[in-house]
Amino acid sequence: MTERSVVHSTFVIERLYPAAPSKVFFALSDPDAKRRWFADPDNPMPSRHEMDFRVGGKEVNAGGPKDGPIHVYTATYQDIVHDQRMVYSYDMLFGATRISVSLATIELFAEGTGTRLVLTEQGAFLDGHDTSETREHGTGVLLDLLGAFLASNS
Amino acid sequence: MTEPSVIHATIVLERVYDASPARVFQAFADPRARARWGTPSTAADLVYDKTDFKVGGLDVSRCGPRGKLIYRVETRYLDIEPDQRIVSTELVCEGWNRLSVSLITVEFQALGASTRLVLTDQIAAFGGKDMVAGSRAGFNAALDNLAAEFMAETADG
Repeated sequence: MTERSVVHSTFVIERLYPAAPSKVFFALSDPDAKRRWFADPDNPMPSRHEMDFRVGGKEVNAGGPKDGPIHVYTATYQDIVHDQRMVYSYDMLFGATRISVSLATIELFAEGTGTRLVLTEQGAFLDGHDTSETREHGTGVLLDLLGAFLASNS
Repeated sequence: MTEPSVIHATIVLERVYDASPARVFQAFADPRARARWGTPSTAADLVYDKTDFKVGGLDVSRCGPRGKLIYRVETRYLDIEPDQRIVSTELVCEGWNRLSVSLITVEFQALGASTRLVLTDQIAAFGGKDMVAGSRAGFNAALDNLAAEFMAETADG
C-alpha cells in the first residue's frame, strides 16, 4: 500500500490593477478573454480549454510539454457574485497522478479607478508531488499575466 | 451593494477509533452510515437526496433541526484512496443564499489495530453567519457519534 501524505496550506496574493472591478471580473469569467491571458508560460498552447462559468459549472485546462505528462487543471465554480467574488475548487493532475486539490477565493475591491484583487488559496498537496511554494509562485505569475492583459486593453 | 469579505479558516480535528482503517473508511463511504453518525444531535436530521461516492461524484443532502431541514449541502468528491484518504468539497446553502465552501480532507492512519483519523476543514465563509464555528461544532459532534458506531458493533458482537 502506498504511503499517503497531505500537506495543507493557505496563501494570499494581492495585486492592484489599473482597471475597474467589472473589467477584471470580465477577464476572469469570459472564456475568450480568459483564454488570452490564462496560460502556462512554459507551455503556452493548451491542448484543451473548456469553461462553463456558472455555479456548479466546470473549467478544464489541459496541456503540457511535448515529451512530458499532460497537466490537467479541472475546476468547479462554487460561488459567484458578479463583479465582486468567485470561489472555485480545482484539482491538478500530472498524467494519471492527482498532485493537489485546492479551494480558491478571488475577491475584487474597487480602489480609486482601479481594482485590488485578493486571491486566497487553501490547498491540500498530495503525496509530496508538489508544494504550496511552487503553486504560490505559479499563481503569482498568472496574476501578472492578467495584469499585462488588463494594461494592454485599457 | 458590496458583499462582506470572505472569512477563511482551517479547522483540524483528530480522533482515534477502536476499528480498522477499512472499517472507519466504510463508515464514510456508505451514505446510510453517514446519515446515522453525521447528524450532530438527536434534535437534528440529515437526509441524502442523492449520493455518488466516487471521484467526480456529487452528493446532495439536507440538514437542520428535525422537521425543518433548512440547509442544503452539495458534496463533491475530488480524491478517494480506499482505506486511506477522502478529499471533497462541501457547499452549504440556505435557500438561495450560499453560506460557505469547504475543502475537506479526511486521512485514515493505522495505529496498531485502531485508526487515527485527521479531518482538515479549509473553509471559506461568506454568508454572514458564523459558519466557521458552526462547521467546527458540527464535525466535532459527528466525529464523536462515529465512535459510538464502533462501540455498538463491539457490544453486538
